Amino acid sequence: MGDSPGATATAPPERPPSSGANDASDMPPASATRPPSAHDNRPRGLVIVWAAAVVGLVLYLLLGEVVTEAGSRPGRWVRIATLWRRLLDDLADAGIPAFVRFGLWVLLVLFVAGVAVGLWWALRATSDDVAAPGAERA
Amino acid sequence: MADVAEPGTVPPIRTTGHGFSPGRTLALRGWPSVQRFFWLLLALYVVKQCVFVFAFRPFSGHDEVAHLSYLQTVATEWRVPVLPELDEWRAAVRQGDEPAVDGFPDELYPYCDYALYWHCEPDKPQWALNPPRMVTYLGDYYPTGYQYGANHPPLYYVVMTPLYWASDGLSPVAQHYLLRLAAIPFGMLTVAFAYGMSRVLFPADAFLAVTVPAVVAFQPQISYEAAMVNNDIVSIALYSAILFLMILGIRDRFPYRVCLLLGTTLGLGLLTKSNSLSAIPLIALAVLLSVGWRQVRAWLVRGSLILLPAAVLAAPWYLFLYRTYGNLDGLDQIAALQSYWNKPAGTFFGMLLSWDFIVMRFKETWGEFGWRRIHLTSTLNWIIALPMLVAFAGLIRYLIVAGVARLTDRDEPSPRLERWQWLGVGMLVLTCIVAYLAIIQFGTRFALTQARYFFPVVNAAALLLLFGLRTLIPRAYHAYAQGAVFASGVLLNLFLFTQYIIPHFISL
Repeated sequence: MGDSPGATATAPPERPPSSGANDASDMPPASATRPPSAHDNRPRGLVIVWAAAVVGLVLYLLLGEVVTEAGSRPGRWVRIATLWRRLLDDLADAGIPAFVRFGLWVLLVLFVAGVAVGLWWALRATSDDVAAPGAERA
Repeated sequence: MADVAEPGTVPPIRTTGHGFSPGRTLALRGWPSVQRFFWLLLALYVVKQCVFVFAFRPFSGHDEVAHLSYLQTVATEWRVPVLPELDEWRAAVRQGDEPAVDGFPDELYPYCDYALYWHCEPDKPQWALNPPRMVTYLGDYYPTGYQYGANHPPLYYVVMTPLYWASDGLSPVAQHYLLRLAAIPFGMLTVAFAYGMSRVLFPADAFLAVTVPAVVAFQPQISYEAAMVNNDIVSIALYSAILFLMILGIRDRFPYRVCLLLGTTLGLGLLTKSNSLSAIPLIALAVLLSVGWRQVRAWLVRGSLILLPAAVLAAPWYLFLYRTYGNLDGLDQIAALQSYWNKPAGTFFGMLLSWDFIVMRFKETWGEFGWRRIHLTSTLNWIIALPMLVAFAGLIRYLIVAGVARLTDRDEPSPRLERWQWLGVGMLVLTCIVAYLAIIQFGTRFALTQARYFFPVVNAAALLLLFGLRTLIPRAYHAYAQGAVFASGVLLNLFLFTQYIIPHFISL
């Protein structure tokens, strides 16, 4: 009497199989019921780490020095910015046109900017971000 | 349900999360951070590779002289070069002839130091004007400056031929830089397959989706390969595609479409470099274990769909090798030509158990650019090795604990893997073992065995190590670990350039 019309017997649904590294047991326990806010998405710790890393990288490139290793010659301190400038000057001696060398300077600046953005996205990427449960191939 | 016979009856394997999907990846709006990171990583990779291309002196990459010379032969003479037969060559020399040999072009003699045993005295006028083609050793004659890469398959050179023609009017150096730039897309493919394989094997894991492609993108030797004139990077990209398709096949129990793609990729790999041969038994085992060895018809059909395109593509090349050299690799001829300086690197078990052998392969994996020219300090090697050892320990610990738990029906540690994921991880482990043993096998005959022969499985090694690392890091710290792995890759590259590479090539 209580069955719906046309209903057929069926087994209880199986527990969704684990999918390895996204196993629920690997997730932290839920601790809040309110919807996440923008603040939750940008924990202060990540912002601090990101800012410190980017500032550190820029300072390292602009002010940093390294002891160069070049064959049997004794190493000496050279500014990192100087090294890159010397590399591009050297390319001029090798016949690389000026516009290519200018392009390389632009690429180096873009690289540093891209690293800053990439680091932020690397820090922000979470498994929740990747996994919408049951999506795609379910 | 029993193992599956036909694709139509294969029950779909459910996974949570998004698998790798080009259509989804190309969607312009609403990208998750992981996808945004991946595309930015590719853009950063291109920028970094341009620096790699121009920072290294022309032809200083291993065998660039040989590769450009091979390309010249293909592009200008419409044929592949041939190794000289030592006995025939000597007989002709003794009769006073100067036998015609496929050799390196005279204009590349200033770069002889970057070629293998091209007698190199470019400052001496008699050799600068007329580069040496013959040496004597203990009274015997040997050719020098010959095309020792002639036993390499031709695909890379055929693909590069249009670019060679288009740049024909440029100087050899300018043309060389252009050809180096043309290697970058193959490096991008390698990074893309690293991302794709992570997403297929661990569909919902951000840590691996971020760190695996990042490590591959910033691995300095893989980057180096993708910034020089060589067929290795094409081989690496194609082997990466094979591994990606193999994991995809394991997940979906090798549908016919994947089998055909796998066979075609394998065939292209065999036409690029012979180390793709090692993929054949791995693919066969993956198919057998995935569809079930009792399902004879199922694996026979799938095996045929893989082998047929591979054989059709590769057969002409192997027929050519057999007709030209009487063997399928030309290595007998190479061994004879190099006999005045070559010797085996050791015995198989001697190398397998040699600490020095392992250390040298590690050094070549991270430094030793060119033919072992730029050496990293022991301190830096240890800084690189320690996190790798920790990750390796994490992998071994996980495999033992989870494997034992699975076999004894106890609760598995997190993350729990499904059967197909276990198979995928197992095949990647086996892939790395086979690749390493191949290095050793080559060394039983040739002194110049090297870590480069392991590079085609870089994606497998990266995924396994980072999976091992992941098992050691509490989930709450994954975000920081992702940032740390990415930042470490960037810093390592910056450090290598400023500390080693730039000072090696310019006078300060």
